[in-house]
Amino acid sequence: MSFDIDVLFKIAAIGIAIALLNQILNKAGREEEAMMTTLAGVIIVLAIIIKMISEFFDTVKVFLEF
Amino acid sequence: MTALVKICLIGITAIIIIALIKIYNPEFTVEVTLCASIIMLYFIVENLKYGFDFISEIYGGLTYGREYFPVILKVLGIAYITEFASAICQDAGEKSIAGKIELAGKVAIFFAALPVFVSLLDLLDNLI
Repeated sequence: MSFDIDVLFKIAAIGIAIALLNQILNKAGREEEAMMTTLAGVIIVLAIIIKMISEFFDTVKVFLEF
Repeated sequence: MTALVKICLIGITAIIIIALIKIYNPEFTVEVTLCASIIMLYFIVENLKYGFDFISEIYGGLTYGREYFPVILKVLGIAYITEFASAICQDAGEKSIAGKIELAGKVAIFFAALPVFVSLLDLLDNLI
């Protein structure tokens, strides 16, 4: 994962999109699907974050001969 | 200097995004803070590397303390990661977990610095 700012914007976009979808699905009367999409969004963002954390820890290990 | 400006700007944009996300999706704020702090720490560690190359040259000239320079790096790495994790926990409002992480960091630093202490005692024995 690259360490520049657009990852932050990507996560923000995912968050807003998920919130939007949630509202639409709730209004359409499908609460279960709304909860599913929220869960999916959270999992996607967690996957991105965990990949970044592992890559960051590798760079720290390499830089500081940890 | 430019790296410093870059880090400050990343921090400010992260705060703006967090304020935005808090309205729509409160549970995403932890991820955004995590991502922003990773990016900032990455740039900090990258800049730190230049300092270490310089210091390791100086340490090359020493006779007694040469093998203890990696210990300093290790302790710094431990400090970085524990501070990173405990700050994230405090942001999320979990003071107790942050305290546990800091305790673990202290223990790790103690174990990393143990050989230096032992060799210091040996040195004192020889002197006396």
